[in-house]
Amino acid sequence: MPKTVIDVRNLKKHYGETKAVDDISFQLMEGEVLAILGPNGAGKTTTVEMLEGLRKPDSGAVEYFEEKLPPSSDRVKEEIGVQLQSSSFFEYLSVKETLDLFRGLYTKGVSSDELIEEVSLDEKKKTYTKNLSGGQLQRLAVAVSLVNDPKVVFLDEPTTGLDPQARRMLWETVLNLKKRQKTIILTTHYMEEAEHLADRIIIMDHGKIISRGTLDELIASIETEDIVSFRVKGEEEIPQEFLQMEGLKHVENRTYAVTTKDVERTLGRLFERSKKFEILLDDVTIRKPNLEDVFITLTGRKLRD
Amino acid sequence: MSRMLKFTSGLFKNEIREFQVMFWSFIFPLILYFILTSVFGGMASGNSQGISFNLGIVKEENLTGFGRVLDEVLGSISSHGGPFVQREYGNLDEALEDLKNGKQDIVLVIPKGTNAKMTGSLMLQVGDVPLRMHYISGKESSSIAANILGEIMNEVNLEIKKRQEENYIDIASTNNVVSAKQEKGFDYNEYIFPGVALMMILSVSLFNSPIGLIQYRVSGTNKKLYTTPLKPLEYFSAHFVKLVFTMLMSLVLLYIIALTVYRVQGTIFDPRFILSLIYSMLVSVSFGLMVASFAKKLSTATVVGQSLYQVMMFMGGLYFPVFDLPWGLRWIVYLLPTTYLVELSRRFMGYTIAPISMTWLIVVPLIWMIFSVSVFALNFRKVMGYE
Repeated sequence: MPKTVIDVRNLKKHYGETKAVDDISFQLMEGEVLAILGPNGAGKTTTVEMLEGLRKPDSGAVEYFEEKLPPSSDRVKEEIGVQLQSSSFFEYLSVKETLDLFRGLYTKGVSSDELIEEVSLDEKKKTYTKNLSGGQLQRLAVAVSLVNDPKVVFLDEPTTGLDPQARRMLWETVLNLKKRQKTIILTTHYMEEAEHLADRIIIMDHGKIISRGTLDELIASIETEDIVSFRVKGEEEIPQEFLQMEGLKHVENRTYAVTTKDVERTLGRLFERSKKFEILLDDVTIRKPNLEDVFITLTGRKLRD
Repeated sequence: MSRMLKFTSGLFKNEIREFQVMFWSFIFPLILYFILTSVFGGMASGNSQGISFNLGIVKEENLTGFGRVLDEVLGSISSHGGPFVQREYGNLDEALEDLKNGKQDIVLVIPKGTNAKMTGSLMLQVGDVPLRMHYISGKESSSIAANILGEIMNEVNLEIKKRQEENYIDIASTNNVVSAKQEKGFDYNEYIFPGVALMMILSVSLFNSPIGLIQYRVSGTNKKLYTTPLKPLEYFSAHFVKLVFTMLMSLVLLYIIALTVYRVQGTIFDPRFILSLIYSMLVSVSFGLMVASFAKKLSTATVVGQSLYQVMMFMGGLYFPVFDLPWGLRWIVYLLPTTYLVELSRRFMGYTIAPISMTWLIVVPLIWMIFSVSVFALNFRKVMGYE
């Protein structure tokens, strides 16, 4: 039976009137990858920073391991690895020197050369960090978070701003960590990232956990089997009567989606109405729901709005 | 301890590679040292030959008999320590040409008949001796030389007149030189040394220190560090050790230059002088930490650091005595810790420039240090950037 690595209970953090984190509780099990998904300002970073010991909660508790250690304890600091949302290192130290410097702050760890290979920065080994690209800096940040061979790894939006290739490369690194039974907390606003990497997902909005579970559990929770999406051609105004169709939701611009359990019936009604209101439809697709749909169903807006 | 030392080494390596740190901590103070000593190095120096003027002499007849009195006078004002360097010309045109070209400051013409007129004046007490002086009006050195030579000739006249008086009594006088406490001669190369040393210390403490602390806080580097077992106090200690090490390196460089290039005397190895520099380091670092406590942004720290640096350098008397300034400005002089620190170092070199007692030289910087450290301690969490 996997052990509880982090136990979060009734965590709250307010900044004036703003409730950055509003009474959240969850547990993280050993070897698990937990994704915290939510739009910007949802409270993801504040939550993980309280878990990392960087911020003090107004109330609630964060306890590590069986010993129920606080995040500020030396033992916890030795056992966690943190990649922050924005990475800044000493500009005039090379990649290797940076890793060696951080390695020197822990009592145990892995060699810098091993990590450089793992994040594919071999060619930049002797390059000053100020001369690294955004993607290379993110990879270095991930490498630095692994320098102490941690039991728990925090990755705060690790692929934000990366090109697709760099993102895939980072995903590979995370999957390798998963294979090595590392416990990982990943915050992201990319649903495909959470879908691809996480065992369990927490969806946050306005400082609260609005849903949690595995990907299948979350999708099942919105009781939708299929989604019919389409785009309205042209630029003229779409009649309001057409938009009053049951289950219709606006996605973006002139794109709409209808959640349904009976695709045939929904398609029939859609074409019937388009004919009636003389509307031309384009890109009509039928697909299974994903996390984005879960988020839209729960909040009424897109994840990246 | 080992964690802190490893971190200090990384921190030091990172900063020393930055050109700005290299320039302001090591290169700029040395450049200033070169400039100041080049411009003012000869000022009242113990090795100085003093100010001298070039005197061209045109003798239209050789001086003989009583005329030789003039020769003796001219000889005495041109000998070692005298204000004139003499050169004799065969004709007036050549001498005037050199005067116009700046090779001479003044030309003295001894006309024909001078021997006879000197005899008449001294023996028969009749007539004048019409010597002629040529100088360039509007040229400072030429005018000064003319004034000095004119005064000397007046003195000669007076002497002659005294000798013409029957009742003249020559009073022998002895000059008693009252020696001041300052027993050594003034040497600007040596005088400026504590000023440049303090400037190097200020560069590190007012630029590197607050800028480093704020930069790492604002950029988020501190945040990353606080996720590691490194404690804020260890981080601060590493920062402090790095500053002291940078200061020591820059001072070693200054010592080498002072000893090899400027031959500054061994007073700079006096243990009391070295202790005064260490005291300056502690006070300056505290001052820099206070700046870091007040400045939220990097730009604010840069502006405040730069302004204080300039004021503390120039108004603190690092390069020139500042106690002749008008009272409106002098109160700033008395407020600055650098005024006391640089004077303290100079006292141990044998110079007394400021009218301040030894006690105050120690107490005022100490008050500044206690105040600055208190301000920093109260703002420690804010400066280091952790909750």
